[in-house]
Amino acid sequence: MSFFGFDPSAPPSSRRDDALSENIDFQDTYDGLGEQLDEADDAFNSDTFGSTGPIAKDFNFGTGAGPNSAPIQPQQQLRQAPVPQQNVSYAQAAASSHDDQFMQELWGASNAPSHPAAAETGPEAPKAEKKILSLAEIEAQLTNIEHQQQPQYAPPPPQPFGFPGMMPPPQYGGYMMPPAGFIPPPGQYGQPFPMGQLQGMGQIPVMPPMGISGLQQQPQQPQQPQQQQAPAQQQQPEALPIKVGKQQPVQSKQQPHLVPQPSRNQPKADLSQFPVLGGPKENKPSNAQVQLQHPPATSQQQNAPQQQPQEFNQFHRGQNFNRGGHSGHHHQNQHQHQDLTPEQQEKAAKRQEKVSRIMSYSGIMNPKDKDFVTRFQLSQIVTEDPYNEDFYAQVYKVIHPKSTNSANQQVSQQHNSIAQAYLEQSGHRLGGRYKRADVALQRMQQQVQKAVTVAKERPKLTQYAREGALGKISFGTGKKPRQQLEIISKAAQRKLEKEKKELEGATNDELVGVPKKDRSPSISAPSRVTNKYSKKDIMSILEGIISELMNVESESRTNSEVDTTQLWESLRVLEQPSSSGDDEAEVNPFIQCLNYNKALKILSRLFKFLSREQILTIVTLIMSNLENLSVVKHGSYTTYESKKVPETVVKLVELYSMTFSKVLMNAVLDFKFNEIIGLLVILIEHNNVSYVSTTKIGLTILTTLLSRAELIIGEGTISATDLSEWSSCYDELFTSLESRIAAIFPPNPEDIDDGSSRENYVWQFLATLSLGGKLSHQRIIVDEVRDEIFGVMSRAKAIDNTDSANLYKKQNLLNNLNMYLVVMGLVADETEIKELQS
Amino acid sequence: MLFFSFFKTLVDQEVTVELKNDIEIKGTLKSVDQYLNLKLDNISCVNESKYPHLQSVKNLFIRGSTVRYVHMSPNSVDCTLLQDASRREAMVQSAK
Repeated sequence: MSFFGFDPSAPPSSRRDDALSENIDFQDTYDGLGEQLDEADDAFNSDTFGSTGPIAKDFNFGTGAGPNSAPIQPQQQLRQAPVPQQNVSYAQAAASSHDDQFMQELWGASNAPSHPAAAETGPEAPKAEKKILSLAEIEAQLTNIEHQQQPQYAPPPPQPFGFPGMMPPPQYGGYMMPPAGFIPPPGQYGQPFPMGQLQGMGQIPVMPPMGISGLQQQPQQPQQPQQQQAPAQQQQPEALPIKVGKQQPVQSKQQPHLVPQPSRNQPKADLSQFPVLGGPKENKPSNAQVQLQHPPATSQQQNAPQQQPQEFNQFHRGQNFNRGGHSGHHHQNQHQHQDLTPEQQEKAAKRQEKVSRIMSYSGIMNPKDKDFVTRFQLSQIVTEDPYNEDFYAQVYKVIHPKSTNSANQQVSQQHNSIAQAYLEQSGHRLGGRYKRADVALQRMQQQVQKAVTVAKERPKLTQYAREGALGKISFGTGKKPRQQLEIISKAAQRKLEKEKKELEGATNDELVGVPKKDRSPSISAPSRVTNKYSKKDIMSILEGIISELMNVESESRTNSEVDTTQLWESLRVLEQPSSSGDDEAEVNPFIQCLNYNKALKILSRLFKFLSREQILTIVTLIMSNLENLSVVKHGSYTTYESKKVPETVVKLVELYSMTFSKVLMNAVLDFKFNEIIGLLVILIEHNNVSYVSTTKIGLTILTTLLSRAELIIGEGTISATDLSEWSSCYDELFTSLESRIAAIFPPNPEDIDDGSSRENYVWQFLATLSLGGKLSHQRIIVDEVRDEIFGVMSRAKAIDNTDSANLYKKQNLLNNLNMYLVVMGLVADETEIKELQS
Repeated sequence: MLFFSFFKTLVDQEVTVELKNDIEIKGTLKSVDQYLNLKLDNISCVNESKYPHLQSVKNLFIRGSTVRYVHMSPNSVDCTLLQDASRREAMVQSAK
């Protein structure tokens, strides 16, 4: 790995392990090797790497461990006709830039195309034999060498190769080892190595220049190395490793396997001795090991079957250093190749190619890279305040827990957990819901945390005018991917102008003050007796209420104590007293708000934040304004010629029953007995009770109050004075209803009860009224509603007993009627009324 | 962020995406980002006879800018909550 002279302080394999381990500080992704590069000799890059010509756009970024990449090739060539190369790895691409020479020098002679060998194997051979190592293999081999080199530095100075201490051995192992015998012409060659030291070591004289020869040679001329020696030195000073390798055998005759080398006649054998990666190897103590080191070249050129096992060894060893999943696969394939028919081999080769095509890009991003991307994406969308900025999703999750599709969810959760969490937790409080989050999730949560801080620190730049550019560059942010139009509302504009004028001086203030008075009645309220509210005013008041409510709600998520004074003020309950019959525009704004759907929908949410006193105040206000509510005002059949309530009002009435009535019922539970009496008194005083009773909502309110009062009486803890107050209140109510009780039944009884519902508010009211009254009261009521009672009985009778589909209606009709009759100890069936047997 | 927030709640639900080029794709929403890019799984083309070229595609990524409509089941939308969320968004906007 000492390729460019940087410090591979950790062996490459271990560094790769790092990538897989957890808990990495992301900032450490970059190992900083780039800063250690010695760039002094960059001018020689083209010499080192060759002038590769134009670089194509289809550069292969894969790992290069394709089926045809180096390790397999020798094998294939060994036993079958050379296979044309299909897949070009980057190393091959570099080689195909026809710089055989430099490849040879760089990778060692044995790996370079060897022409003598070509002559033996045939015309196709040169192409086929181009042995190009992928980077991974080179690394692997380097690692090998490094390991085996360790002892090399142990020997004392006499060793020809010994310049220990000159350079940190592991760093410059093999490749950058300065050629001891090489004296660079000072002007021509830079000073990448401490040459002075080299010379000081006295290495030069020892070194026979001849030593360089064999390796220095181009493979084409392996036979005449010596002659070329001197020029080679000067012309190709970069080919350091090779020289080193060559020098050694000559210098040190101690190395047994190197001794015979010069004497050999066969250039092939010679070449085979120059291992893939240059000299240092040759210092290895054992010959056998050396042979293992460089067999590809050997076998390639000699085609010697007996060397195959060694070659395999080498091959596997190299492969083991290859990237993760590949090695095993290749390994296996390699074995298979041995005992397969050519057909099968072809098949296998095809398959392998396919696999490698798929695999070639796997692992391009390591976990750190992925983390980086995730973090980058997250930092765009995270927010510190998820309940505000991600309100819908966050609340939706709470309101609609995923019970509906939990089975689905579980399956998808497994496959999709990261994405799911990514979306769900973007800025959400971390880990809360995912106690048993797996490692990847935890890491992602850490990412989110980091992203939040990063997002906080990032300057909020939205526009940037670059020097010399005509326009402005606007950045979208994660929250606003596209630039929105910046439109200031008129109100805001006015406010801005006002502030401006206030700054300018007091004189202008008066000008602005006039229109303002018209707009906001609340501020000018003290000076006037009554205010008129337009629909627009009411709507803005209502929106104000909702905004305050939402503020309070979001505050309540973090605080148990919430300040609701602003919310209460926004209701404007006390702003303007009014009572039934007032001019529509002058009615208390809160009462006016109650005419709109959206006010009703928030009622239950609103009441949660109000104190008992505040609720009592509101209910009192409503009691005195019943006839100002449009459900009461327009909700009585008596005001329509057709005796039918229009559809729009009916809908509003329905909504009231769903919202208002329920809220009121809950509120009343908290009221004391005398408070309920007080409410009833106010209701009777301010409203025409007989009119109110002809509306569904009015009647329901009466029922609610009466039944609550009766329940409290039933508890038996009421003082005598309270009871007498109650009876006088009841008498008053009854008097205002007397002789008009039948009118609470709308002309078409089917409208309110066709038997399909289990409830009938009219009978409920009559039951409650009867329950609270004395016997005399009950008699009056029965007298007045006698016709209705018999009407219901006949309607029930009209439903045929064989009509099973409608039989339940009959039962409902009678049940609802009996709810009233039971109060007086009676029970009715479809034909007669009997005394209740108990 | 309102729409992003909204679409997040539709993850794992079936939606129909109508593209600006008239292709309608039905599939399970797998992911969405702030650009409203969508990732769909198990897709099928609603107007397949007209646009058969997506027949063999199982899942896809749709750039948000090419989407015209996203159809979804009304049951998967909480309108009241959406109203609140819109108000909140408006509040945030006006506060700026």
